[in-house]
Amino acid sequence: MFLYGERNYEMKEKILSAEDLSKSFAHNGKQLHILSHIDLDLYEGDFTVIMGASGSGKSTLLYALSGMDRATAGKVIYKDMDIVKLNEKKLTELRHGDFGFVFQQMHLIGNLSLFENIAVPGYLNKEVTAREVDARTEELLIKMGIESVKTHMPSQVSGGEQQRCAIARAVIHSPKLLFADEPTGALNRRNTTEVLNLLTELNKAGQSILMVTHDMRAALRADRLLYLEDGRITGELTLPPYKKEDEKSRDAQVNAWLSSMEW
Amino acid sequence: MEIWTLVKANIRNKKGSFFSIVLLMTIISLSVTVILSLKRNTKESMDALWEKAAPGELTVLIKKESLTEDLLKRVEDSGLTEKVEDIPVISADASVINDITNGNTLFMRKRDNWFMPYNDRLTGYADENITINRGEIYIPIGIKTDHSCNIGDKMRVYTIYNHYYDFTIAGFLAEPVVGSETIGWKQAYVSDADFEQMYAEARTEELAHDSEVTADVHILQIYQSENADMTSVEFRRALNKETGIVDFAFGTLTMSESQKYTLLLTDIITAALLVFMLMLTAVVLIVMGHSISTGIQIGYGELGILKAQGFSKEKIRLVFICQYLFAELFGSLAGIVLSVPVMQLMKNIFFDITGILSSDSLALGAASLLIGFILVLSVLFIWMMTYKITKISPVRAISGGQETVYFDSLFQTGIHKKGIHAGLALRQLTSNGKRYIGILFIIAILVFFMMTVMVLGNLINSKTSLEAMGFMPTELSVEFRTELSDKQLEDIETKIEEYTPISHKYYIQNLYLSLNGEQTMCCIFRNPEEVPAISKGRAPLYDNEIVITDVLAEEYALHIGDEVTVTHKDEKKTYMITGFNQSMNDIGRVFFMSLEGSANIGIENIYHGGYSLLDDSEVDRIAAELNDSYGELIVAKVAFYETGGGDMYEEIINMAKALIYILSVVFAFVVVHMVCTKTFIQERRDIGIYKACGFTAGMLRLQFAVRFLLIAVVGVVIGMVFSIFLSGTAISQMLRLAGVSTIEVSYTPTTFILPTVVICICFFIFAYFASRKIKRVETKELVLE
Repeated sequence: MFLYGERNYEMKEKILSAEDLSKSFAHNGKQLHILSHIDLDLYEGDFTVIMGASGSGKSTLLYALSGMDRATAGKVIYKDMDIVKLNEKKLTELRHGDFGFVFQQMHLIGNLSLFENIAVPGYLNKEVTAREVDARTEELLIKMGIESVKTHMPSQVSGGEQQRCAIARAVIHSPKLLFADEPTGALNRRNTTEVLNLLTELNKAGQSILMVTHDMRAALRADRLLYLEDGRITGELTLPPYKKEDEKSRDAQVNAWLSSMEW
Repeated sequence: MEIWTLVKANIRNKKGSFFSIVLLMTIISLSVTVILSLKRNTKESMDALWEKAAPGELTVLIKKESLTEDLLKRVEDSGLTEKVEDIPVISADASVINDITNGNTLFMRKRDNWFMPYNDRLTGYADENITINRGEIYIPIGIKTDHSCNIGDKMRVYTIYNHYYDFTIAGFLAEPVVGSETIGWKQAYVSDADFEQMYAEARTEELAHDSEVTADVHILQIYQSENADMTSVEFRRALNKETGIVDFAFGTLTMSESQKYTLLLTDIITAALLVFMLMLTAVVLIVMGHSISTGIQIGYGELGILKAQGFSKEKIRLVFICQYLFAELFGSLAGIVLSVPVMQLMKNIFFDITGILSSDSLALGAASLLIGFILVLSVLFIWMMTYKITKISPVRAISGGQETVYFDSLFQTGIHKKGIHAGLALRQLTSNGKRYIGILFIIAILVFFMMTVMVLGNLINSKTSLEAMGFMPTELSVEFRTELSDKQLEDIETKIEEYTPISHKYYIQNLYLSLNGEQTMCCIFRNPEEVPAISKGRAPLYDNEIVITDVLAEEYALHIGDEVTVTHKDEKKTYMITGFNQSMNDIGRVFFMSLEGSANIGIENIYHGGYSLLDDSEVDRIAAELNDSYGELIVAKVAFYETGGGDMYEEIINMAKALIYILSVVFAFVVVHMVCTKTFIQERRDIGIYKACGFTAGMLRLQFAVRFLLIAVVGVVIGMVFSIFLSGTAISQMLRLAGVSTIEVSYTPTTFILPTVVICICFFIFAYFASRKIKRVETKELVLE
């Protein structure tokens, strides 16, 4: 494994760990190994980005770590629980309690307004009152810059606004870890920047993020980059927290690292 | 070939929709085939029985004393008649089988060439040379139906002055003229020796009492001359004008009337069921329409690809037509096959009503024609519904499907933490309302029929409703064996009131009189203010007044204030019409007058009393007590209006209720299943999102079920509104055949609650069941990789 940069992991608290994680399935009589014996720790407050070529298993890893998909072998430890072994009920609890998800295709509910799309998952939390959820939703709408279109339906707003709404929805319950799968994959340049700025802001505010992307601009926002190839993590790069003014040097550093990964 | 390949593939991939349409079409085809076959077979069998028995066009019931030699000769010599068959019978005013008293007049006769007994298994005719032994009696099927009796059961027959004779039922008869359950008069056959004994004893009693009461009656079968060429009603009118025979008779029945009465109930049942089936056909079309439109929406991309590959829009539409038509054809054939055993069952029910044994062959021609019409209609409907296919653009379809669905609804309600699942269910409903309009219509139709059949049930069980239809519902009925004085009537009332107060009483006599030359039933009231169901004008309070039914007014073009001539034997008087009412007697062909009015034409006595009791708990004891104390004068019997003679009607209505409820549940299941399947496909992505947000499969299934529950509630409300406005009209249209033009529809809480509960629970449970696939939706389906 190539390691660039230095990081003092002892200073950070481990939030989620994968141990010997594998995912395979049979296809046309052959066993395909999508993920092979992955060991990985994610830390609180990190903005971790997984990169890799198409078909390298990035999204599969993301969903195996988040419990959206089950690994064939290995463990995913979160709060002393092995996510791989959790039943559907426990996984559901994790989804509306500890984890948040942002998808490439936004996946907003078409018949709910932006406000409702954000608030509805919040309502599932029994420990929070409806008033608190509504206040948090308003706060997020302002933060995401979509307050003016909060009563609009998803089909009535732009892709960027939809994705910002999706991010707000993902963090309505203040998750411990936000999983983002190519969140800028379906966006134009301007919207991409807006969404990445939001994610960066969230991270700066302490939000742990695990993002999968093959977009260089998105990768620059990370403070930890992992490279996945043929289902294995083959490289890791740690970076200082993102600053706009450092973007050029950061870009060169990441590019060099990716070149070394034969990206 | 390419079309066939696509049709096969579509059927394979949409097995649920295919089998749903097959099931619905099976029900429709089965019902249509059975209804049309029963209708045809009953009519054909009735015609065959008339041909076999060959009765005259006119049956006249006349007391011996009225049938003078001169009168008979006038009839026989008339140029209008071919021949007259004179059959002496003994009139019995009551009979008891299995402890059930029947107050309808029974005419006892000797074995003659009319004697046509069925075999013991009631599968065909018995040997015609069968002998009737002493103590044996053969009765028509109509009595068997009323009393649920069998061969070997004992039957007690009362003639005049409380004379009774005990018989053993030896068999059942085919009797075309008055054999049907729907006709009150009945004929029974006894041995010659029994007949002679009864006749002699009745004659002795008649001579011993100086009264009008007689058991000596003659049935005249009058055959129309070939030269006359008249309808049977015209024949009766003309013959009466020439000979006065109808004026002297106490009852007549023309061939057309007899056939009409015989088929009355079966005609009503088949007409109502046919309407129900046609409405269910509309339901099938709606379900198909929904399936097609959502199918196009879901398969937009694939349809675009087909177009891109060179399939014309017509070819694609043809694929849809073939796919659904194939299911309909399959269902139609299955229905026809299944109608074979169902016909056996239904044939027996119709046999009980009409008394006519019919074949169980299928009316394939008529059924095929109607089913063919339904199929043609559905082809046109599918062609119309697939119009959207012509608008599919291959480019847009390939590049990601159709346009974004734009949700905006006037009925948008907020979503709150409290009741979040109901809120989301409501949003899913209102944001795509169009998808559910068809279902609402289907529910409304089902609820309408469910409520209508319940209203019909209420009608025959509600005293007020029966009174409004012209019935005189009582708990205790008394037939007078002789003329009773006011003092005797008072004694009877006093005896009854020793047990409970009388809330209402009727003293009446029904008999046939000539009204402007037409034989018409007359109902004579001791207290004319009791004449029921007057809808216009007033009761016939004076001795020159009558009230006629709406049916008669329409038939004879009569108005209030018009004068009519009523004839009884040699007596003739002009009466003025003072009002209109309705009655189910004689399919509404009845007029009413006071006893004072009838005295003008020589009718001075009443022979029937009916008592409505405040407390009917001891009615059996009262009847027994009256029979013990006044047995020589009267026959008292329990006559609960709910069951008295109406058992079979109640049973039929209960059967119709069960049939409509069962079919509604089946249709609800199929509709929910089909709609849920399509909705599930359309909303699969949303389900995944909800799951990713932390919703459990159980919560989502609950939302799904709640959504259909909400649809059911709205549909039920629409159905109720339909019912409130249309059930009365629908029932009165149906009962018009039986002579009732206006009904007082009564709704009980059950009328509303039962259909609501059945439909809502069915939709909720079926939707919850149909949404079980939600468990299989995984959040990883949202991932693009």
